[in-house]
Amino acid sequence: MFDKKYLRNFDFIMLATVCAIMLISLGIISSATIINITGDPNYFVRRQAVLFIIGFFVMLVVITTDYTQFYRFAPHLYVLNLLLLGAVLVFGRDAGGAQRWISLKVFDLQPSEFAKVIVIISLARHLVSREGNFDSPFSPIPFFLHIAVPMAVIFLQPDLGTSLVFIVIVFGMLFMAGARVRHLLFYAVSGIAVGLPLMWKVLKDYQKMRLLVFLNPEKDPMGFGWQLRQSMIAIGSGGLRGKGLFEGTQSQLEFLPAQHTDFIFSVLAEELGFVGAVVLLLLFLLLIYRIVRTAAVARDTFGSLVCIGVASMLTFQVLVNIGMTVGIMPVTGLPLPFVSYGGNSLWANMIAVGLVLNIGMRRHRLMF
Amino acid sequence: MSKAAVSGIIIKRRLMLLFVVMAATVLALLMRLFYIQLVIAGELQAKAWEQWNRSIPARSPRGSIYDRKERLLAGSASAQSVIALPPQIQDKEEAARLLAPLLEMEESRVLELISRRSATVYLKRLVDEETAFAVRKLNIRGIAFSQETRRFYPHGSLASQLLGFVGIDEGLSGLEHFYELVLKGRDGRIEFESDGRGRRIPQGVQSYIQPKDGNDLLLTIDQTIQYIVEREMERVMLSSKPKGIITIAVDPRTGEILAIAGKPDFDPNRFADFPSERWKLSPVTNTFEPGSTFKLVTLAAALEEGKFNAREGFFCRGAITVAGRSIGCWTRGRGGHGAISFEKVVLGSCNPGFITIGQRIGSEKLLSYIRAFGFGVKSGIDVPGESTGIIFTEKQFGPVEAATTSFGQGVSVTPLQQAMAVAAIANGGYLMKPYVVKQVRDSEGNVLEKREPQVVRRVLSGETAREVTRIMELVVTEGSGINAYIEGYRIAGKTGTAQKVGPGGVYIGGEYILSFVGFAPAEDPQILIYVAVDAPQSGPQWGSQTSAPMFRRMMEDILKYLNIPSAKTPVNEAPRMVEVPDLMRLSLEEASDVLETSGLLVKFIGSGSTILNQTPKGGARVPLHTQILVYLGGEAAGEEVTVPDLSGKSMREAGEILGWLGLRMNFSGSGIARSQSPAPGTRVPANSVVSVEFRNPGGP
Repeated sequence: MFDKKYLRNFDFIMLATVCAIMLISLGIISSATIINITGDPNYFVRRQAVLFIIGFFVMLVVITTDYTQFYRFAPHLYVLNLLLLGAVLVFGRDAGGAQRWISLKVFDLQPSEFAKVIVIISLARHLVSREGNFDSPFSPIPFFLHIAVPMAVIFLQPDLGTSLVFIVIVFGMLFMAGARVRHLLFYAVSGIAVGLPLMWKVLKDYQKMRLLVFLNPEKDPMGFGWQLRQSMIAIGSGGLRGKGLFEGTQSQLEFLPAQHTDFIFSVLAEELGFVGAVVLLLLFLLLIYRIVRTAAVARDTFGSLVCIGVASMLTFQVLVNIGMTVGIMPVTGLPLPFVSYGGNSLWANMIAVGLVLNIGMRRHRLMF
Repeated sequence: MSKAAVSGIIIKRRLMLLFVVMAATVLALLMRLFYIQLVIAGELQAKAWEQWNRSIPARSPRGSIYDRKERLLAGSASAQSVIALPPQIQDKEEAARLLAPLLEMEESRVLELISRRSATVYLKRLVDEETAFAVRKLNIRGIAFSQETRRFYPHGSLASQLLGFVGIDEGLSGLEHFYELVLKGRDGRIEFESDGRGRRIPQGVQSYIQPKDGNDLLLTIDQTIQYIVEREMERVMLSSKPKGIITIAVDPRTGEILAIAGKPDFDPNRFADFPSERWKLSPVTNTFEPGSTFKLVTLAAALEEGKFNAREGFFCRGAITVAGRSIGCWTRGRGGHGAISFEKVVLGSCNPGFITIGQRIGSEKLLSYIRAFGFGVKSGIDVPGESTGIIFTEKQFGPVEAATTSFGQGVSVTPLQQAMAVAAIANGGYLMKPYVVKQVRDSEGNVLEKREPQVVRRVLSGETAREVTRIMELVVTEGSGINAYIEGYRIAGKTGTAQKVGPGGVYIGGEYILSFVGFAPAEDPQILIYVAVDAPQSGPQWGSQTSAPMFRRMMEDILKYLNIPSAKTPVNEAPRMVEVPDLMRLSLEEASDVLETSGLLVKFIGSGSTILNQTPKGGARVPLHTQILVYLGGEAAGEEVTVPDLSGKSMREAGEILGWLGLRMNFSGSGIARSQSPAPGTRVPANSVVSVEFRNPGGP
C-alpha cells in the first residue's frame, strides 16, 4: 500500500503548517478555557490534544489510502452523508436552537462538518465525469443540484454558515473544472437576487438578528451586538503585541462569547496581538498556497478538483470566521479551521488536508 | 481519468486566479486587523479596562465633627455591609433561606436580590458586628462583606439641628449636608476581576484601593454652652409647653456661633423616627415678627443720627395716630405710660414713643439702618436653608409701615439676623458675619482651612453702641428685663413679646413669641444670647416671665463656665431684695404691668382673670427672682382642682395655697416643702387631702 517513494513527494511543509496552526490552537484553547464549568483548567486543552492525536491517526489512514478509493466510493459516501444528515434531523441533539449533532455517548457527531469533505469528493467525481462539457449555460445546473440536497438539509438544521460553504465549494470547483466564467457570474448574481429574499423567509429570528446586527451593531447591544462589541474590544485592546497568553482581560474574564469555539480568534488577537494574528493568517495563506500548488501538480483532474474544493472550503471558513470577529462578516457560527475547539470540524479539516497530502504524494504514477 | 480536455494553460491561469482571490481574502482580513489593532486600538483598550474592573465600593471614613475644644460631636464607627455576588451563589434558595432570618429580611426578597443579573448587589447595608459574624459563619460562597462606616452622634440630640445627619451615603441635613464634600472623602474600592456574567473569578487579582479619609470640622460651637442652652430649653419645653424654642449664643466680637438650637429637635442617631420639620435648624430657617427686641435697631439708629435724647419728655396716652390710623401701645388698657422720659420709653418698651423716635429718624434713614443691621438679606452663615426674612421696600414704606417697623411689627426676620444685629451693638458697632465652622482639618490633623472673623460693615459708632448698651443695662437692672439680672454681672438685654402672625398676615389671638436678647458682661461683651419661646401653653405670656428667666439661667452658667469674674464679692453676699407688689383684685393685664419690672417670677394657679390671692403677700421683701404664687380663682369648690406645686414653700404658705383651692394639707416634718403627694398637676376632687413633707433647709 505505502511506498517509500511517496515520502519524497510528501508535502512536509503543508503538514508542518497544519501542525503549527494546531499548536497555536492548543495554546489559545488553554488560555481561553482556563476557567470553565468543569473546574479543571486543563480539561478542554487536554481533550483537544486527544482529538488532535486521534485526528492524526484518521489523517494517516486517509493519506495511506490511495485516493482513487475515494473516487470509487464517492457515490456511497454521498448517500451515507445524506443518511447521516437525515439522522440529525430525526435524532439530533438540540443545542442552542439548532440540531446539528448526533450524540454518540463520548462524542457528539456533527455530520455537516464531514458532509463538506464528502461533497468535495463526490462533486469532484461528478465534475470529472462531465469534463470538457461546459459550453452550455445549463451545464453547471447538475452540480448545483448535487450540492443542493445536502446543503438544504444542513440549512434546515439550521446552519446557515455551513450551508454557504457548499456554495463556495461548488463555485470554486466549477471554475477549476473549466466552467465559463460568465455562466458562473450569471448564476452567482441571480442566485443572490433570488436566493436572498427566499432565504430571509426561511431564516429563524435569531439568524436574522445576527445579520441585522452585523449591519448595525447598535441594534442589539446586549445580545449579538454585544458579542460583536466584546470581540472588537478584545481584538482592538490586543494592540500590536497583545496582552500575552493567559493575560487577555476580555477572554480571561469571559466577556467573549464562545471564546474557545467560534470566537477563538478574538482571544488570539487579544493575547498575541496583531503580530500573532498576522502569523496565524500567514500560516493559513501558506497552507492554502500548498494546497493550490498540490492542485497544480496533481496527477489527475479529480485530484486537482478535490484540492481546489478543500482550498475553497478552508479559505471561506477563515474569511467568515475571522471576518465575523472583526465585524466585516455576519455572526454565523462557523468554526476557524484547526483552531476552534471541537472534534468534528478538526477531523473533517484533517481528513481534507489528508486528502490533499494524499493527492500530492501520489502526483506521479508509480512505475512498476 | 484524463485531463486532456482541459488545457494546461487554462488550468494554470485559473489556479493562479483562485489563489489570488484566496490571498486577497486573507489580505483583506489583515487590513481589517491592522485597523482594529493598531489604528483604533486605544479606545478599544479603554473600553476593555472599563469593563474589566467591576468593583465593590469601600466607604471612606467620613470626617468627624468636633466642637471648638475638640470634643467629638459626630463621628463614624465602622460597620459592615453584606454583599452578594449573584453569579457565584450556587444554591440560591438555600442561601436565601439561611440569610433571611439573620438579616431580618423576607426570604423572597433575599432570593430576588441574589438572583439578580448583576455582578454585585447590596443585601443589607451597615449591619452590626454580630450579624456580620453570623453571616460569615454560614460561609456561603458568593456572599461578601464591605467595610463601611456608620455615623454616630455621641450626645444624641445635642446640636442635632445644627449637625444634621447622614443617610446611607451622604449628609442629608445640617452641617453634614452643607459640608458633604469636605466630610465625605474619597471612596476606596475593592476590585474584583469579573467576567462577562459578573462572576468573580477565582484567581482574579483582588486589589484594594485605599479610601481617602474625609476631613474633620472644628466648630465654633462650645459643647458645654450648647449643653447649658439646650438643658434650659428642655426645661421650659416641659414647664411652659410652648410650640418651640429657639436659642442662639454667639460671641459678638467675632460672629462665632457658640451654641445654636431649636426645640423640639431630634436624635440624629434615629433621625427617621422624628418628623422632618424637626430636622431644620429653626434659628436660621424660621422667620417671625421680632417685636420689641427690634426696637433696639430703632434706638440705635436714633442715637447714631442724634435724634434721641434720653431725658427728653414724652407723653404716652396708650395710642398714637399715624396717617389717620391709631396704633396702640401695649399699655393702652391702663391708659398708656403717661408722662415719661425717652429713656423710660425704651425701658417700658413704649410703642408710641418708638413710633415718635422712628418718625424723627425719617423712614428712609430708618430703612437704611435696618438694612445696615443685616435684615432682609441672608447672613451667609455656613448652614443650609437660611431664610432671608422680609422687610419693606422703599415704595411700600409709608408712614404706617415706618411706624410699625419702629417697634418691630410688620417685618419678618430670622432669629439669627436679630441676634447678629444686637451683636453689632454689643461689639461697638460692627455687623459680623456669623459662622459655625472654625477650621477644616485633614485626618492627620493638618489645618486645611481656617475661618477668621469677618466684618460685614460698621453700622454704629462706638459711642452710640455704648449708649445703647447702657440703656439695655437699665432694662435689666430696673426695666422689663429684670428677670435676666445676674448678681455680680453687668447684663444688657431687651425683652420682646410679639404677637404671632398666622397665615395671611393676621395676628393669632393669644399666641405670642416671647423673646429676650442680651449680652454680658456689658462692659466687655463676650457672649450674646438670643432666646425666643413660641406660644407657651402654660404660664404668663410675657417675655419677662418666660424668656428673661431662661436667658438668666443660661447666662449665669455660661459666665461661670467661661470663668468671667463676677463683681460680687464673698463679703457682699446679701442678695438683692425686692418688694412683692400687692396684686389683690388686679386684672391679669394690670398685674402684668406691675410684675413686668418687679424682678419676681410668677406662677399662676387657677384660670380666672382676676387675682384673688397671692403669696407672699404684698409688701413682703424677698430675694430677687423669687417665685410668687398668684391665685386667679375660677376653680369653684366642689369641682376638680389641680394640685399646685408646693416645693420650696413654707408650711404656712403651703397651707394657704391649698386653702385657696379648697384642699386640705396633711403635713409631716418641718421647714420647707420637699415632697408632696399627689404630684403637682394632678387633678383631684375638691376637699382632697394633699400630703406634704417638710424638711429643714440644709438638713438631711
